[in-house]
Amino acid sequence: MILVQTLVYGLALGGVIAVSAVGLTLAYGVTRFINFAFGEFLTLGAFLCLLFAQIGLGLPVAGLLAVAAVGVIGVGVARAFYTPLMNRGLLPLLVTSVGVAFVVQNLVRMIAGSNPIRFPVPLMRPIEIGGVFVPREQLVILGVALAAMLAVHLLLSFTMLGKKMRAVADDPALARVSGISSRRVLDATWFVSALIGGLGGILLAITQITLAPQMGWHFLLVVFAAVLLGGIGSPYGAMIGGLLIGLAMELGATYVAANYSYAFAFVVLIAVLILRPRGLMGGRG
Amino acid sequence: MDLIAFATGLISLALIYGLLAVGLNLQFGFAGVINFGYVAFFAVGAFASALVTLPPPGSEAYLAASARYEIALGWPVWSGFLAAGLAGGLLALFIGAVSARLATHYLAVATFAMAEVVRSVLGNETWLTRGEFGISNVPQPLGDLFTPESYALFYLALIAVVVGVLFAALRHLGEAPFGRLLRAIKDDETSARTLGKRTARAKLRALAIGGAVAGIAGALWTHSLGVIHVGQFVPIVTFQVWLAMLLGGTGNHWGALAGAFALIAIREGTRFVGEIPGLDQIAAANPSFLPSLRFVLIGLLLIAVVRFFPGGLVPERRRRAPAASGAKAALPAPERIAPAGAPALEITDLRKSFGGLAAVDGASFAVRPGSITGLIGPNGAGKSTVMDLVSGVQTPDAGAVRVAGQEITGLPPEAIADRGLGRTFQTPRLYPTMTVWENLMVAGMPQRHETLRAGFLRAAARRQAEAEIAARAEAVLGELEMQSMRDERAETLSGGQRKLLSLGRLMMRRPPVMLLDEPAAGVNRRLATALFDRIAELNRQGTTFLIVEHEMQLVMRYCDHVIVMHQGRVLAEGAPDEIRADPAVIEAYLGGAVA
Repeated sequence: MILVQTLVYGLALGGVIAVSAVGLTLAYGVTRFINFAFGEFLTLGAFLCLLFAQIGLGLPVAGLLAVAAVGVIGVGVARAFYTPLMNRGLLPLLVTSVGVAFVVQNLVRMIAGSNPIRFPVPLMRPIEIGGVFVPREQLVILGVALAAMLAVHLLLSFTMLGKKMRAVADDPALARVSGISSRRVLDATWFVSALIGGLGGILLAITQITLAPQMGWHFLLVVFAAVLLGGIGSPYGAMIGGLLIGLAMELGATYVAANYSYAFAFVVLIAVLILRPRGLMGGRG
Repeated sequence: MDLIAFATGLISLALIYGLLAVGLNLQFGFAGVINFGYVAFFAVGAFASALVTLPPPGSEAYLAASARYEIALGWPVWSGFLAAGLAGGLLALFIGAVSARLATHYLAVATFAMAEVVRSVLGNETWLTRGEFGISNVPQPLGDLFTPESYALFYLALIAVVVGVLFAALRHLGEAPFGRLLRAIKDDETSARTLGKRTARAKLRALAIGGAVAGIAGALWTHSLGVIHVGQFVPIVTFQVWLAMLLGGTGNHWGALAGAFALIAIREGTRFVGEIPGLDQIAAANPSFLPSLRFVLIGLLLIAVVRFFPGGLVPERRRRAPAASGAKAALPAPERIAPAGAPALEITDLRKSFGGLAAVDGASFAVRPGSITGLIGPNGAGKSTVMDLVSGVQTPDAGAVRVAGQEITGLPPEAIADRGLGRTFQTPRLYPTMTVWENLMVAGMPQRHETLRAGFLRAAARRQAEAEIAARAEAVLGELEMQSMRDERAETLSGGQRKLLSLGRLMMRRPPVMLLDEPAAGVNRRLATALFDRIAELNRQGTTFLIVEHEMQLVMRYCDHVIVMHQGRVLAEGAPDEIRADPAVIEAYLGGAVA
């Protein structure tokens, strides 16, 4: 009984992680740096969704608006802070993204305060599956997460933009001489990455029920674990990595020690890195 | 008096952050290790020192303080400092050993994550640390002898002494061969490995020293506060240390120290944002408004420093080689490789594919000892890949590589370099931020002088080795006619000079077999001829060469034997004249129709 419930929770959490990880890894594929401010896209998504819901919009509409807004903010942040540093090597970008994370996180705190706020999820009756009561919102989360990943798959496989993104990810110089405007692909990538991050943040807020300014920054670690586990830069690896990490965290919290659910993410991660230093799907170095 | 107390507190804090920044600088500024979890070493140092020195449970002092922790030793404070250094160093060794194989990105994330795991352990294991509540009666060394006011001054003096000693030691280390090796690793690790350097070990040492230093800083800090709790060790501490180091300018310890003072000044300056009229009402409604605003400012500062002051406040001084003593050592003759009968280098059915593309597709050839063997072929024939496979920069999918009859297939580059094989790269891989002289010195310095122990002990032996290698460097500079450039950074050299310097680095080591990848490409004709004359001279002294070269006139004039590769295989080999007349070779080069 507990096992089934744990698995459902684990899959839902895994879905949240997987969606977020896909957003982070997409941006990595094109820009080749790990955006430490990615967690703030999650935070912004959740808080903007809350804001829109508080002015009277229904949750789905508020969510869509919030996600689009985060996408636009993502493009703005990248243009203002990352693009000027693109040719200066890895470290300036990494450090700048940490700075951006601190700025955004504390701006949110300045406006919203430090206290956790309840996310307005409508009460739903749990449904019974084979004698086990499963909360409906967990299934909604899993469904939305799977739909989002399907959308990313369609984007990458069948649209011109997705093909260009993969081309730039494979070889930026070659993509440029083939006439792909890397600037526009870059903008589009940041938009999609931040948008997915915003969606991940809303899903995270639903799983956690409350939201706080540091939620994205804390969750970032788990997202990193999924990204590295799947192989950095590989969207499909990130999906698998996210689901595995979610399951590991829930199983560990249920059967080993509840305090350490974050640490379990890293035990899995470190084990994999030792065995396969480039992740399950052998990402880009 | 208040002002003095205020200043004392700030200077103490700045010195502790300065020590942290210097330790991080050794890890990043020298060895290039991106450590985003530096606060973890600070934290374990602080807790180790606190728990070693606190009065043990059950003792009078324990009961008097109504303490709740379950383990403490009650040892003297100096043992706490040792424990702190040990804890920081051991944690760094552990993290380094686990993540040593990880590339830059993975390392940044892995260290960041491990610091969070350390914090989560310290926060959850309340029996040990009291978690968020913390422990409030951490002993202050010699606290009974002073009034609280004068104690701060005494403790500042203590901090100054500890930081001063460690600072001097780290600076010394940075100037020693060990520091030079670390800078080479930061500039180009692969190239350092092909010169036989055990780079993983050196990086691990740098990590451990940086960790130990951070641990001691943690001890200094916790004994000055008297209070320790896990909330003190959040990730922003790591990035404040990064800010201090970047503010100061990476790669030089004075900069890191100065950056820490600037950081503390700025950080304390932001306390005054509350004085701005109008903000107080907002702050009254939201108590986290002002602290958050300060973090916003620190974040913006981090961004601005990286963007607009990449060199930091204290730019790295131009390093100069010590004046040449005039002594020029004779270059050592290459060691003979035994057994004499075997080929100097032999590859058998070597294969390497990238995705679906077979770059090397079953190539086999042998290089006769004492020869200059040319390796030619059209672009994409697999020549450079063969070089990478032989020198261990890449691992072959199948096949065997032997040097003097000994199999070296799949060994790491440093092990292959030790077997007597040196190489240059098609695009020279020098240490761009180091001077010409330093490039030569790193190449020539034997590993036993690049250890930590050699950095502090055996000064006479080290100085003698340094003088000996310097005399050799002088001789190489002379042979390459590069004396006037000895203090230029390698990144300022022209393409031809870079080619010369990469040959010079090999001359410092004199491996019996040298692989040169297009030594004359991009070099003007006069210099190219001079370079090949140099190669011929080295060859007369006993060095075996395998040379990839496109300039046919040079190949025909200088090589004894030529191997032609085409589409990943050996197409033909023989004396230069035979090769020139071979119809298959002409076809491969000219595309068939002409033959």
